[in-house]
Amino acid sequence: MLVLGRKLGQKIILGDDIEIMVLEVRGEHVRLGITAPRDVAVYRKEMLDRIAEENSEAALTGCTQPCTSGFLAEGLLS
Amino acid sequence: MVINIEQHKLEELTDEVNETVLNMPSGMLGFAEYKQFVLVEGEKYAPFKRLQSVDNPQLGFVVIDPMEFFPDYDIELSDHETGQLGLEDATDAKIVSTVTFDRKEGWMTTNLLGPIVINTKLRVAKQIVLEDERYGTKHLIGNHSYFEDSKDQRQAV
Repeated sequence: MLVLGRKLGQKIILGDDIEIMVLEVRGEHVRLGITAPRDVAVYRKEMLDRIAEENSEAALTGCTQPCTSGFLAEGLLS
Repeated sequence: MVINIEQHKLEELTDEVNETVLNMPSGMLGFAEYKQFVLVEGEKYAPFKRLQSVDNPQLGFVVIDPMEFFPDYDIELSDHETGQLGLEDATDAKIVSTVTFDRKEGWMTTNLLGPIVINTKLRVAKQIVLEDERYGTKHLIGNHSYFEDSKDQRQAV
């Protein structure tokens, strides 16, 4: 991991066309401005972790092939 | 639509199912190494479908079409996501969301924050993360009850 120190208003450039700027620092909160091409994904890590965790809870593991036994739905309209 | 589920053991899959092989270049979040999945749909199991890993036959997800339960569910894809999926037309897109079974409480919930978007034309899919405060990972869709104390409850579906 590359560790850089930045002051308010300073920028970091990633590659050719990704720019990160420190917009505001307030206590433990940092506000960052990110400029990137449309095809670059920008995610908050905790959001990805949250989905990954839900996937783990949702995942059916240990199914034997073919995994055919299971739930039949009885639809009830509410 | 509220669903009550009763677990039956099926000895043989008698009804027709539709299997679509999907390429997921990023896998599922937390399961990034598995990039080939089959979406299994059949009237007998509706509204449930299965997203089954091809590379790991022991890994699968129960999924639903969230619009069947939440007609107002609307999602916005970023340019990055649209590009990755090669989506040129919104009508080529199909959405499914994973279902989680809480075995203790008996709830069934679906993840509306991280839906899976499918390009039905190219057979490419990606799990996306929404930036929308309306949605979370556990939206209630019904409850289920077990008739038998199956030691292998996670083998269901």
